[in-house]
Amino acid sequence: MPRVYNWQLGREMEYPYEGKRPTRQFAAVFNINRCIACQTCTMACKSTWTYSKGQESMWWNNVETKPYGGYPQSWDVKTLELLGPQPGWDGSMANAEKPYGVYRGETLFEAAKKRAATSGEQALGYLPTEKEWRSPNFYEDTAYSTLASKEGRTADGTKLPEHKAWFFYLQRICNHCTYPACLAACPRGAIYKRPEDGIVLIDQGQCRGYRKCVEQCPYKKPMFNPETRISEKCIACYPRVEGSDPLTEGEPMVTRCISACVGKIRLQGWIDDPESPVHYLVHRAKVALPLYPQFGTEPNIYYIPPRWAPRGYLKQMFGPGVDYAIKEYASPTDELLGVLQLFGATQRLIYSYKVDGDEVIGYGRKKQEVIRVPIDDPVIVRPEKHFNVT
Amino acid sequence: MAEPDDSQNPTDFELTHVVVPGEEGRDHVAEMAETFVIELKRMHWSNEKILAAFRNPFYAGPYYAFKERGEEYVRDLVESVWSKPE
Repeated sequence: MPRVYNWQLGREMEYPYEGKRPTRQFAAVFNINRCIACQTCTMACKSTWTYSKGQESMWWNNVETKPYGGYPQSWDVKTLELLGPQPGWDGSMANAEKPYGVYRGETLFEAAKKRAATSGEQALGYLPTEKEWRSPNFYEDTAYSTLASKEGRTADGTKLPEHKAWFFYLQRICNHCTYPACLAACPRGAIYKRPEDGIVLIDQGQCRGYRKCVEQCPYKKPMFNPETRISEKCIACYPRVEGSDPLTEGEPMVTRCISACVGKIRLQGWIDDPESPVHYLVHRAKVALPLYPQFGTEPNIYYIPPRWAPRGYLKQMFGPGVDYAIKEYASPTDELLGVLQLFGATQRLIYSYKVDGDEVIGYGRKKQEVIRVPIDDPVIVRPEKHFNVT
Repeated sequence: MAEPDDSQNPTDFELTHVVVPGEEGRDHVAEMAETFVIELKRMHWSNEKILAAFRNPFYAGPYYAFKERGEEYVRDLVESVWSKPE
């Protein structure tokens, strides 16, 4: 099996195909500290891409409450259990090329080869039941079942028990991984990674609905359509990324979920372009971290971890960079404060940026200015005569 | 994580008795409240507006801290935390 380099692991690993990095890689940073789980992103995606018959339980973008919930239910717990306890990263070997050190455990690809040689799996995985897909978010924000206990709820059910410890919201779309397990798993070769932007797509004409991608993607982002009998997944709103949306006259735009975010928690860019603000957040400021990097797929959606959650849990979820990321985020430099102002500032895709005094400027594909935001943005209160009155 | 209790209703999808402890020696509610204050200050909200968000039951996280610790605690926090490097 070919060996490819995974920078998140700080080492080479086995993968069924030769490593061919795209010209540039689609990526985004989600700031968990700001998310209030309003689900505007979820509905923006739903109303754009998955409103047809057979897509009722399909949510390419979802926001789930951690550690209590998941879509499909318990997806990460089940995959972590399959992988089993792993030794983690050797931080003593960290350097510029290996920012987290070297991962000493097994990836899902390596574990599949070792433990499931007769199964034909390329990556360890499982197929969620239909029931596990059915009800995202149900009761995730309440501490326990109203059926199981009457404690903490009113007789008419209008008040439900609350979590007493901690929780946070995790925003999830396809990670458009550098080494996608879905692509590795497909026996039809129907899944491909676009060389121009790294977006991972399922060729709907090639797919026969074997569901191997659903089984082996650890993030459970390919989904089966029972109406068409083939699988579908997040397409990173590629017509917008290509600039074919008439709104911007050929200029690339960010995805629907990213542009719709009310809390301005999301920023899209190119992970391997040193001028991109996303590259800055991941590789230079090191405040944004991959989701379950130990799975070995090199996911390209990065997260600024929540400051209040237990570090052990966060390290399991985001790897060994958690302590540094939270420390840097809590005491931001002027450049970091500036880049944070670019989150949700424009629908146009920001290719590069410059912090200029009290302003941060975002530039588009042709180096033209697409957004200028003051770092200390003045608050303007709507006059009383313009208040909404219901 | 507990499986849903389907015994009474096959379509029910409720979690049952999930217990996730915090870390010993850490005050997660205080850290969560402080983070909310910092984020809102980075968005240039005034102290009064932030305090109002904590008082509002619609915002579950801040309101939980407000209920747990009281108005004086939240007011002190809002006045003491600033968005610039700490």
